[in-house]
Amino acid sequence: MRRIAAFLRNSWLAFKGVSLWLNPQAYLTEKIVNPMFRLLFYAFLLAYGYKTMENATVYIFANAMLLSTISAFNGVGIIYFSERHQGTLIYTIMTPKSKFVVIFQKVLFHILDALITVTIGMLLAVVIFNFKFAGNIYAALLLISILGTVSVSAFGIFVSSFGLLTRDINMLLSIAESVVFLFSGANFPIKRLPFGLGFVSQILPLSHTVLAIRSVVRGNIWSGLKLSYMEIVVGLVYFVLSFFFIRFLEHQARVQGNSDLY
Amino acid sequence: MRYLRVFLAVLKMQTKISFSRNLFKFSVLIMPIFFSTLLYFVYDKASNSSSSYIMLGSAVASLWGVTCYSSAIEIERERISGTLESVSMTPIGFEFIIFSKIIANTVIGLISFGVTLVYSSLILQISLPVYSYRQFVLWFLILLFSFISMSFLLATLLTLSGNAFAWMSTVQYPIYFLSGMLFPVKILPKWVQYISSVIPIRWSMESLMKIVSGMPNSSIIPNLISIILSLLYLALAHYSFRIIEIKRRKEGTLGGF
Amino acid sequence: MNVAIDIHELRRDYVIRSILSNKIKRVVKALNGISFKVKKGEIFGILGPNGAGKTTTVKILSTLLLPTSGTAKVLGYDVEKHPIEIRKRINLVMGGERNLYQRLSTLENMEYFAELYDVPLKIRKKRIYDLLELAGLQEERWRDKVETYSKGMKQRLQIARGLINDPDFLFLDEPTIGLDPIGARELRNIVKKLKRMGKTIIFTTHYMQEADELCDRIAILDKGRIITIGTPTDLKKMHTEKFQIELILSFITHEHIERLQNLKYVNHMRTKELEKNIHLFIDTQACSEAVESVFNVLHGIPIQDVSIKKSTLEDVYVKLLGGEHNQS
Repeated sequence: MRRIAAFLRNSWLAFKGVSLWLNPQAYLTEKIVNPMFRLLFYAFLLAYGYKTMENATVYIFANAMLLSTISAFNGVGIIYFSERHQGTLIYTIMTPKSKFVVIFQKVLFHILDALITVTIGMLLAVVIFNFKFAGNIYAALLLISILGTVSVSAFGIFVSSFGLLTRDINMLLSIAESVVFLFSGANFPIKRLPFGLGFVSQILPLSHTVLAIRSVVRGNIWSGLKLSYMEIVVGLVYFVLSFFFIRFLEHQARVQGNSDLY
Repeated sequence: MRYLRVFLAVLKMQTKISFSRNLFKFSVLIMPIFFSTLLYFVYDKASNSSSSYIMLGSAVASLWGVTCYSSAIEIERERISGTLESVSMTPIGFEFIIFSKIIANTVIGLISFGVTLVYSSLILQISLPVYSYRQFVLWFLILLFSFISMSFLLATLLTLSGNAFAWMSTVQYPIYFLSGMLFPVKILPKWVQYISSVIPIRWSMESLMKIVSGMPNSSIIPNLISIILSLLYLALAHYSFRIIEIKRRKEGTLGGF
Repeated sequence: MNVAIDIHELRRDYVIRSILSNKIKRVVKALNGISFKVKKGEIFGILGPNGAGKTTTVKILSTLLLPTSGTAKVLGYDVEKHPIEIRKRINLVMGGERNLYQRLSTLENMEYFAELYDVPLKIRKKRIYDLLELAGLQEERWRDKVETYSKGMKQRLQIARGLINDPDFLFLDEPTIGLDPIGARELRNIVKKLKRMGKTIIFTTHYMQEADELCDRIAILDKGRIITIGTPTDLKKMHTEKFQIELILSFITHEHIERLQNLKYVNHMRTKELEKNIHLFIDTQACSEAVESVFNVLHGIPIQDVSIKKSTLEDVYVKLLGGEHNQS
């Protein structure tokens, strides 16, 4: 029990140490007010584009789900960059503790953070557009959101490790965010993409979640949850990839010595 | 003549500084394709108004993104780089320099506008009927005027707020949907439409959309509204600037670090 | 076994490649075959100009960098083969204000690193408190964010952080850089305390007096080679005379200079003109005899000032690393 408490405490410290949202006012604007304006903007755009609310509903929920990218990129995505910036990366590397655990601790609270934004987004959509669903649909949506948030955060840590190769972290993050935004299928069906670009969306996070949301909103809860499992697989792959990538960078830094990893 | 020379110097400097940042190059040259791509896949391409939004609306939105974003935080940036003091001490006046910078940002923003137009017509194969080029150009200049006035006001108001960076992200999306760049204002709830009617860009945008849908005559009144509002904004901005200057001298609160 | 560090023929090259063609532009030999041993419980100083290879040595020993050739063993473990074993037993403290989570408090920083080093929960709290006390951080500031700290406090916290895993071996990379004289002195006192606790310490610095005061043995590096190694006293004996006498005169003749140079106790002498006065620098092993004979020779010439100083580590450093050509 004490072990778990210490683990959670440390995850919290890891979050606090690199997080930008320390004062309540900044948190409120960055994680709640701005995302909601963004959601409203896309909701109206989609409502106009798809003409009927019936067609737009799925996309509006999918866009609420996409709000998780704010934490995944601006929170998780800057972890390594910010560790290097304040000179603490060296100790993250030097620790004898399993890197798997260290990385997991760094991400944990960002996942919860993202989940808050997504949940508020979905509630806002329900209130503003007057959606009415059965209770089990809400439960399924919550579960799907959790899995999707975990997956996109894993992708965030993957992007974050590339942050060690660049000085222009913001550019990297906006590219990642735009790509996920356009290819997730959250705004239009993936099959509209030309040249088999639909394949790209298969290997990006959130695309399966968006399909899952579509199923669930249309009442097919079980097929929706199945799609969500695929999302977890995608997330896991990115998490493992990022782990090996960091190991690789560490090795490179030790061998070449001219990498400015630290 | 002297003002023109200062303006040109500011323009040159602003372009140089801006393009030395990779992120800026990226947001001027690459990001503009974002909205047109999104709209291309979401909107029904058969309809004429969709094409106008995909091409013209997205182009205006990217122009606005560059102009407003760089302008609104202009004073803040001067403060952070520690040049605010030296710039405001120059005899030509701080207000004129900031104003020049905003015009410079608008000129740079035109690159994004161009990128979007070229991308939409060459890659997305969108065509846009412009019924009167002369009128279109004139109306576009009025739109630029509304951009400049709005950016100028935002720059001063955000500076007064003391936290320009945070507020900038907050006003970004509301302005997108209040100004009717990417979808008509009509689809918004009534009370939101009232707010949007005090934004000059919204009226300019309406006029431009009317020109490309073949209704040049009904585009004159909205444009007049836009001009009047823009002038009002400029006056307000000028007044806010006075407050900033006084506050800065009195309390030293807006000085450098 | 009494050896904490055993380095043999250690080399490290940095290959600089062209970004475009990936062709090798040049190879920088940062370490050019160095060997030395550090005994357990010793404070071992590494001195040398920027780019001499100090940081490279520290990085290799702290497992952050691999050697190109040669071997390096820390506490019996090879840096290439057993980095994890080494990491458990060492820690690294760098000078400057970075390397801490600025937005966390002192206690939070310590807790976080305690977790990274798997400090047992039972003793964690006590160890953190003890270390913060050892580092001399006032308890009433423990809950404040690190970004509000002064440089000196941050440096103390870094030391406390560096001790969180109770390392046998501590690397201190220019720990007093940028500190005010009092802060630097207090930090040196902490280092002395660590030695009394039995820690082995490798210490790099640019401040000679500090190295003289703290280090049991010193290696001076230049261009990736060790140019000398020994205790501070040995180094001074080996490379300089014991004393330097400085006289300031209004004038001097060539004849006087010649006679002075031929004196028995004058090992080396040079002159320098400064502000219309002549400065004489005389190196000698026997101070009083030299002074007596010099005064005899200079009889009749007005002497404006005399000073005698014992040679310092700085003299050794300057002599070995070619600072001489700056003087006439």
